Amino acid sequence: MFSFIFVTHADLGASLVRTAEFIMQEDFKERCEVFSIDYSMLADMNRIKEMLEQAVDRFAGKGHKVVIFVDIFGGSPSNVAFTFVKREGVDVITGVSLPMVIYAFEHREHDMTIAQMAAGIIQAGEDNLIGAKKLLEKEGR
Amino acid sequence: MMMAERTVTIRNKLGLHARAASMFVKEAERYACEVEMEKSGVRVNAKSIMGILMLAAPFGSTLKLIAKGPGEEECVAALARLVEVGFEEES
Repeated sequence: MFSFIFVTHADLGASLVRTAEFIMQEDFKERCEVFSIDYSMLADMNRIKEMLEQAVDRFAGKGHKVVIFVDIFGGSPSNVAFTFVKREGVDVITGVSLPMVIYAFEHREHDMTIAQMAAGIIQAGEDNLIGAKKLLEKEGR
Repeated sequence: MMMAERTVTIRNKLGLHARAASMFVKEAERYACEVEMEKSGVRVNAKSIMGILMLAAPFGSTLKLIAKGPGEEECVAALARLVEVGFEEES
């Protein structure tokens, strides 16, 4: 089983969860912890780290594997999240998008490793990076 | 190998969009069999919203539903019905 933590600037994480819930017509609040990183939070990165740690511990305590979604690689959220990367059953994925979140939610009960989940999430994101003109060219239209 | 197949036409104006795909997956998940969907030679796992959306199936397009395993006939019938009623959307 998997749970998910979102560490994103402003409202992105909450919006992604809400939008995935709208599409999937389900409630994922029990499986998600969302941290919106705003100015006040940025002033105290240790606090963010502590809150993240608590969230990871809470999910890990239930026996869940944990995916931490981050919006931009190299930003403050990602710098904090990356400190958890060595933990077993935890992975951090940056550049989060709606297709990645839907994939993750769809597979939350699947019996797979954290590495398999991470690979699937990244594939879902990559599959959805499509430029319309390029696609039509490729299809010869 | 045994399998159940059905060709269906997308009847709702919005096509097989995200929420429709989600409804489709929910119905498919009620059955233990494997379910796939095929359009223009591309075949995807029909128990995956992201898989189904890759087909980008608009109004009027035809799709093949393929189910293999326990409950395959009932599964294909139920899924075909869902598509044929246009996912219960106004059309």
